[in-house]
Amino acid sequence: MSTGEIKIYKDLMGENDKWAGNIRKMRRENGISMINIIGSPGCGKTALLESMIKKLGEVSNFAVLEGDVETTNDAVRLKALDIEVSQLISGGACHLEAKLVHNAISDLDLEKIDMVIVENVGNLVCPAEFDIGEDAKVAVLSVTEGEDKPVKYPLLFQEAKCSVVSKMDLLEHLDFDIEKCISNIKKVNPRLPIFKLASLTGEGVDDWIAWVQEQLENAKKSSGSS
Amino acid sequence: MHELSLCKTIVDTVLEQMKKHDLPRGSLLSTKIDVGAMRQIVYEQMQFAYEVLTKNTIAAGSELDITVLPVIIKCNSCGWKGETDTIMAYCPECFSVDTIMLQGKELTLEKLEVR
Ligand SMILES: [Zn+2]
Repeated sequence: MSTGEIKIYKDLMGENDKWAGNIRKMRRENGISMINIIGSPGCGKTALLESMIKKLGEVSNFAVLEGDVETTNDAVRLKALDIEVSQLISGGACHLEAKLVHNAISDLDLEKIDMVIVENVGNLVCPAEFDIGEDAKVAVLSVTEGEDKPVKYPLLFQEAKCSVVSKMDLLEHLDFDIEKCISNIKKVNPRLPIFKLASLTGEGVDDWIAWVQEQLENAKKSSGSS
Repeated sequence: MHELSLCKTIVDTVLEQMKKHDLPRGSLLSTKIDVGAMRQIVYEQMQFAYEVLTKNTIAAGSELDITVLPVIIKCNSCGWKGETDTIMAYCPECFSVDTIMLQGKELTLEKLEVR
């Protein structure tokens, strides 16, 4: 019996990347920025959202796509800020794929929105693999986790455009080596901006807000251009 | 478990190709894929998903053959080029951070081995 082969060369991310491209096109036409927040459950993603919406919500319109509700109160907390929140049902998947995100964004009133914030499913592995048409992935790590996470999950920190070390107010009570954490992040991605902050006390939040504002401005500037 | 959704794409393509080439059940020996070392894929989970998804299809009994491609970077400062540890983003020669990754994030279905 003879054997043979059929050559294929199919990029397995091709379909996802096509949808991600559609999202970018749709956003560019409307001058909308988009960030994709990735971190473990309980790392403070929702508090981070709250703090930026409270600071910038007066002048900019946000839409939140929730892939991970950390507690049942999270959606309620965000609704209370008077912003549009869509729940994304990933069907038990460990990450969000571009097609699902595309459908959710298509349902929004794009003319009224300045930024789409995606709160991805709570893990550091799978969401890092998928392009969902965002401007920036934001890697969030709280001081209640391990300093070694950046080297354990290098892809996320390589793909990210900025990193947030959250819950800094708890640092004094913990055995967390912040310097080691920062050096681990730099080992994986030496150019990554790192924001050390505490959403609860407001410590360090201004620098983070300035970064978000930069994203908003960049999207407006490149609006309409291809 | 993004292995499952990736494997779904693989198996869908395999079945499509088998139909296109008129290949009967049992004729597919293996499906070859290339995976960059930077990709966080659990190979055992990938194999398991492949087995589950091909079960009761014309591709049943075939194997998933995974080739891991090492990370290769090129340094823009000193010109060094070579394989590197997946977590290191800087040049091992001159420690410059101005590097580009030439290989390591691949995820491609390469070919089917048939009889
Ligand atoms: Zn070099």
